[in-house]
Amino acid sequence: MANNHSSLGLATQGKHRVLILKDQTLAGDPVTSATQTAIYQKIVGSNPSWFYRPSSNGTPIQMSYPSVKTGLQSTNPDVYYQDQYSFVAGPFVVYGGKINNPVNGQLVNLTPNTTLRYVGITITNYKVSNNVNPQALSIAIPTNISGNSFNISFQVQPATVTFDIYYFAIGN
Amino acid sequence: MTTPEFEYNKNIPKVNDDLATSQGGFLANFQQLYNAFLKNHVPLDGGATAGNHTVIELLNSSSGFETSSGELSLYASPVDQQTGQLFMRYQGNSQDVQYTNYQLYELNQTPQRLQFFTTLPGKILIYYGLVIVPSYPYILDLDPPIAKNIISVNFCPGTRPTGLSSQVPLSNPVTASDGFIKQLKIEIPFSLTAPNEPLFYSVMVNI
Repeated sequence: MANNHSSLGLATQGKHRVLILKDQTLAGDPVTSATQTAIYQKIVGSNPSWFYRPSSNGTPIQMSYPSVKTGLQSTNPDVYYQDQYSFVAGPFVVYGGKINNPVNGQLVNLTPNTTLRYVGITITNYKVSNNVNPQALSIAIPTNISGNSFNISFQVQPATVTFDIYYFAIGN
Repeated sequence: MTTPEFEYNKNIPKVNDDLATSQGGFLANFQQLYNAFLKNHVPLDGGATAGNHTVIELLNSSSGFETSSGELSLYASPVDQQTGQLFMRYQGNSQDVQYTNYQLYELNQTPQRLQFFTTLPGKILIYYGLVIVPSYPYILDLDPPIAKNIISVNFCPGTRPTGLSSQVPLSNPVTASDGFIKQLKIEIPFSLTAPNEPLFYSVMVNI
């Protein structure tokens, strides 16, 4: 009872301190009735992964991915990773980041390796050194989306123009 | 007359006790085990589902829990300026990840502004929605105003752009004096002539 639970004799006895989930791969997905759901763990590849099974033996949903890369890469001063990723149930990996001063056709390889299902890019930090109207900029789009990569494509700008792009992508 | 409160006594039975002496303690201990197990679980006399969880109440912990190879642990921990949140530790005592973030609530909606937000594991928040932009430059408020770093911004026009060529909004974060990024300044429209242009957006930030 002490494992995972608040100790006997405390006001909180029986409640949980933690859920340590053991591999249920060999046992198989738990059976759920019409009034039950289940949270459990199975090994995917070599990684323990958290699953949720809806009621009535619904399709199990993987709730975790083996890694995340978010937040600070260094401190004092705070410097955030320029390329970050997290995940949502499925699991799908959600990528976000910024690429400074890209060249037309630049290849972008996202890690971890997934098959990209969506890529969007948006221009930011557009700067013109000789006061040319910034509305001269044409659209920038992702092209050749394949596997974990895409190209950044845009109308080539005058040498006086610099800009960065934000990307947002989802893969599985 | 009230029923006395018994507490679990791990020293029952004592070495030299006979059964009659310990019986009361045994009964009290079994009752305490039953009562404790009843929390969060179908009770021991609950038939075929005895032992299943009814709910999992996680007590806040100030630190993570050890995981061996092949294990995951889920636990709750307090987070500054948030409520207690759900954390996950990967196998072999590797990385702790804040699985839930902040607290979700409904934002004010208007015909000119549909706004939502959600979170991803790893202290990421995503703002998304639709705005009708009367003119440019346009200030897009980020609510709740807790962004510390812009990871990515994405826009999509809500109508077919007009003009000679479709343009991409240029966005720049506006950092408030307290260090939080509370707004994005959208510099130019998708269209060359674009009054009241609908604009879908998503903004991915660290919090």
